[in-house]
Amino acid sequence: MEVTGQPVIEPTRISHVDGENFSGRSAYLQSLIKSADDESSRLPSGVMVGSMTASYISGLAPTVADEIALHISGINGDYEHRLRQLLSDFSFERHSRENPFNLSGGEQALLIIICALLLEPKQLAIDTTLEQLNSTWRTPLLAALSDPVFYATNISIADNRFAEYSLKARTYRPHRHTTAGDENFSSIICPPDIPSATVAKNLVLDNLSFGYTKKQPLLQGMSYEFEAGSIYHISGMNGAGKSTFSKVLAGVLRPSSGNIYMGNSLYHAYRFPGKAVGYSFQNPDEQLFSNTIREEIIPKALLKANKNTAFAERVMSAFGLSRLAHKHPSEMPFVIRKRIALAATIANEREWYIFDEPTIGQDQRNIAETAKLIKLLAQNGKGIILVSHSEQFIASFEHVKTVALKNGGIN
Amino acid sequence: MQANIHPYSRIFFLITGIAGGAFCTNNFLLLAFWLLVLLPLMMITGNGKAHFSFLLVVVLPMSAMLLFLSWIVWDKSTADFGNVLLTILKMIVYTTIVQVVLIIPSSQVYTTFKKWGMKGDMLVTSLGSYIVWVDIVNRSDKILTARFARGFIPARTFITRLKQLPHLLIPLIVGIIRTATERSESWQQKKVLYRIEVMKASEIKYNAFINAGMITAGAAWLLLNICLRWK
Repeated sequence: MEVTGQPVIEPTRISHVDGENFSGRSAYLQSLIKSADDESSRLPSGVMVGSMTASYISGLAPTVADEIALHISGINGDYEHRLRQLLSDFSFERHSRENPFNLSGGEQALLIIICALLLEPKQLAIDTTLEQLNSTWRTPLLAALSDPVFYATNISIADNRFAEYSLKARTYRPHRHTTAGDENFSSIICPPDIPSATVAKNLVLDNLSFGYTKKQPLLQGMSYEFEAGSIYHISGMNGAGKSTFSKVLAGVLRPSSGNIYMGNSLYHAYRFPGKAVGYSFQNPDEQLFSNTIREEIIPKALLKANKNTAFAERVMSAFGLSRLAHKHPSEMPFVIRKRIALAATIANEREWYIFDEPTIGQDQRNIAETAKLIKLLAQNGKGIILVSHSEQFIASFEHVKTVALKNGGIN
Repeated sequence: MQANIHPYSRIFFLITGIAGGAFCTNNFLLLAFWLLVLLPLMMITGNGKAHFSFLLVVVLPMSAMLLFLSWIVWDKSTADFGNVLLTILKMIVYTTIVQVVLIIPSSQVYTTFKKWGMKGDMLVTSLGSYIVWVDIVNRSDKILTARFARGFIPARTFITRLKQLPHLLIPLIVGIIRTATERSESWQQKKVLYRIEVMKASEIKYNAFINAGMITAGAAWLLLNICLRWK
């Protein structure tokens, strides 16, 4: 076991489970939870949270407040005070009457970690959940994890962005024996070039507004020009409207007022959704529809239209999916499903691409290759909009332009 | 405007409302009960929109079908039409009563079920059916959104949306099964079945006027129909 860094509060309480994709980190965390499990006790011994945040919401509590109440029920009363403090630390009170399933991905991630922590299990395993949090929430959460009030809980974290967190912990690298079929799981390898027939025009927002209700506009009077061939980073707190903004650009949501222009021409994004702007969602499972990975990336519509599939083939190969082409996307682990969703979006050949948390679950090597691939797309004239909470990933782009969303506008 | 209904008022109104409806054979009375009691209750509890949507999407087509079938099968007598009308009005009254009783604000679901005496698996199943529905609706919406974003839906018409149904089912079912597996493991780890039993129900302020009105209206409705039936 390798020990690195200086412990902050309790050196043996927090451990970082290090390794690449498919190195057995998740299996190791699961084994930790199983070994901690005590069926005879009414108190939880081992609790795990993962990247698919909705799965770790109980589904039994109608509101966020009830979800938290469910987790602290039957546990020492002192925790209620700590709970109020935690909610205040994250300015989370405003969500207390909402249904947990209506929260954004980042908000759900925060909720499930807080709830798991409040249970005070002997062993808490956090499998890539922290990747979905912005730094504003991540910092107090990491402080909470280190808080002596939770002294009885050993915390194991598998996270590809752990180096960004400045959290002192001992490091453990699980060893996994290779099994048949492992050779099919290749890494992402950015090709030397990825020529595309379509070239983007500037994307211009003119006084664009949107709100789910008329009374509460989420985006207000946005005017901005996104230049083709550039890479943009949309930043903002969890729940600031980054995903909503992306959906308006992709034509999924209808703006309540204002226009979008592609170059000098008016672009009716809502009338022709996905025509010029491709959008890869944070959760890959919502955008995989086909029976094989090949069909997902090279859909029948593309074949029927007799379009050149060479670009799509190149993209599939770049994402290391060629050997898995005949497999069903749903059979694949999360990391691969995320790659399939990314590849399918890129292979559609759009002028602009919006990537929502493209590196969730990917290890450092794959993150670097994804960054290279995105740079290559931009060099070939595509416009790129990134939504990501990984500072390291965003910093890997030399000329990235940051667009901050705050109070419904662009800063 | 939204008024909180006490769980006991809900259950009392359900029993008296349904029983009264079962004894009732007067179309005018059924219509009056719906117009004067049920409709105002739906509006007061903030469920007017949900009620009219339900009437339009479910009750109206069923009524139309019933009228059509009766027109084909039965004699064209006034008595037959009266019977069909009675069935339609009872259907409207029963479904509205169920809506009044079972549309529970999310913040009151747990408290209401606990007051109804639900425990263990029954409580978990009932809570799950209320809350996970939101998850399913959200997922369906996201899948449809993803199909729009990938350019698979060329036009925003009712027919093209309808055609998306088979494409929506596969990711929806796969997602639900995957989530269910992970959630059941999470429940076991967190000992959720124990926690749900000991969870503290939130304190809710109930509107005395509305609750008294509901109980009175329910009791009066039942008594009136009993009296009319056996007078």
